[in-house]
Amino acid sequence: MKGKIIISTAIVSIALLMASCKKDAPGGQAEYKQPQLPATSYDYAALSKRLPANLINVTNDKATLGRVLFYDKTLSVNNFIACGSCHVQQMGFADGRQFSEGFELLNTPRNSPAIINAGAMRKYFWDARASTGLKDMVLMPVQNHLEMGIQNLKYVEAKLAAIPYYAPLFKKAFGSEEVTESKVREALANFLASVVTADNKFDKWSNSGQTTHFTALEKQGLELFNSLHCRNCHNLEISNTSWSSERMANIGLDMEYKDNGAFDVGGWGKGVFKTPSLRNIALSAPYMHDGRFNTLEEVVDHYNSGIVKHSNLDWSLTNANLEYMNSQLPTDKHRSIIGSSNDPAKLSLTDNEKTALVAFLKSLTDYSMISNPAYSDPFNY
Amino acid sequence: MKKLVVFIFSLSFCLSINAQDTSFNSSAYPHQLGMNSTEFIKQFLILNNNNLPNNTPYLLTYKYITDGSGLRMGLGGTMTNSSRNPNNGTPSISTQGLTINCRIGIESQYALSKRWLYYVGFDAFYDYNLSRTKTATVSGFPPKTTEITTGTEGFGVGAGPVLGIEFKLGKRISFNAESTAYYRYSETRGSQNNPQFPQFNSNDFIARNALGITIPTNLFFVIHF
Repeated sequence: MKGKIIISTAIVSIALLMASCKKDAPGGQAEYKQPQLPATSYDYAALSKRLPANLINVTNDKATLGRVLFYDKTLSVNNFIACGSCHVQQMGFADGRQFSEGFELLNTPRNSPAIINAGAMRKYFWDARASTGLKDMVLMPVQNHLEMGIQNLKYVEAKLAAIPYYAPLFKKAFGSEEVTESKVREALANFLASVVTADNKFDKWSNSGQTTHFTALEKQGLELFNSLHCRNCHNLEISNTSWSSERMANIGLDMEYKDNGAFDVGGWGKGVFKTPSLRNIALSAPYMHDGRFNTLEEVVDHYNSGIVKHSNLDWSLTNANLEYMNSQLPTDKHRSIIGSSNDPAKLSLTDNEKTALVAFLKSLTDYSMISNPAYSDPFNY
Repeated sequence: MKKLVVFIFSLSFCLSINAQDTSFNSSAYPHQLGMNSTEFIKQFLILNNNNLPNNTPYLLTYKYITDGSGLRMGLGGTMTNSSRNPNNGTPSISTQGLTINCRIGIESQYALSKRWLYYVGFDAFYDYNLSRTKTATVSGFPPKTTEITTGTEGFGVGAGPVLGIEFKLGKRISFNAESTAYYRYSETRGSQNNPQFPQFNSNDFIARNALGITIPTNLFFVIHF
């Protein structure tokens, strides 16, 4: 008798255990993952003001809502990915993949660009197809047929309105619980404009005027960065319009581009892409629009000796610029010129110089930004 | 390293030519089975430019040629199936993809020299494609686990002339490449189904007419038997 009871109990226990392990059947009850937000909002307004040229007047409540939206997978057609899936804080808001994965597990055609100081930018995406402001840009990935797949933005409004935790967030941010496309845009733009990086070694040097923040190698890299005119395309001062000059350039990656970049948008030559920011560049590998370079060393090698001749090659990467550089330097610091003025420049960097440049690029990492809880995923608690 | 491989490949190529019987009579072996070897050969021959398009969907071709003319066929396709069932609260997802490409046509061959010939022909083709994604996710209020389905299904039909060139490596082996000018009519239906928000379920329909010209960037390895 006792044995039967034990066996029956064991069978019932196993059956219950198996039932509890079973996946929810479609249509069954389930629970939302709730965002975890602090009782008092983070000071997004103050964070955004660290970027002097910020074009968005950020409020804490709108940015808080924007943060939840940024990480909410509801913004994709099948609730599979969020903006934050391809823009990961710890990776400088890039995603570490050559090409990002969209809502149907299909790869996007380009490398995910890092989101850095977006509030001061005027051009977005590798091909600069968004140039009318952050609020116009933020829902373009949501509507992209490969990225998040929502064609009708009324669908976004309906989905968000059906989720209970959004009502108080919209009410706090906009004074009303009603979900509208324009509010979603504004909230997302507020959050992105608050994502500011302004605390790397270069900033510390700019603010203090002392190069003691750099190691000797990084300092050598900075001097090279300046003397090689890298600033033609990559502005360094935070006080500038944005970190990058947002220059559009063909950098001689291929003789024939598989992806013609801004040419397909119109108004630019073939193989022309937007110059990316160098902030947190060490975190946002792989590099280039197609993620072809895995390391900064490979990138430096490209600029040193790998530039391919192309009819649209940016002037700053030709011998013409090298001639101009030489004219500004003492004779013993001249770089040798191989070929005609239109040919791609060969910088003839030594191994030590390449190492120094990479060290400087790595010094542009803002560790306070990538660990700031104000930018973290509120669902990932 | 690549140069070494190219060198060995070229050497083997030359030796194999010399090793063959130099009398080529196409009617001796009327069946020709071809295989798209573009990607394989591209690794060795195109050293600095990997951007040439792989613009034919046909992986296998078959020709039945007697007295310099006959029937030609092509077949290609892909099938993908993947699923992901994470246990961290992320929705589970499964995707299926299928494409089928087939063509049939006629062809006439003309000798240019002992080893080279060109051919002209006319093809009719049909293709089918299906892509479907199912995602099990939490949505709506009260929250429920629902299955959202998205995807596309379509087909294309068309016809057009073909012009090709063939190099005979031997009696039984040759390479060919061809250019086509196909007119194609296609229909694609895109669907999105979320039971929680049926008002936004959609069935898009797109019909297209297009004339596509391909350049001969695909190399077929052909066995005659």
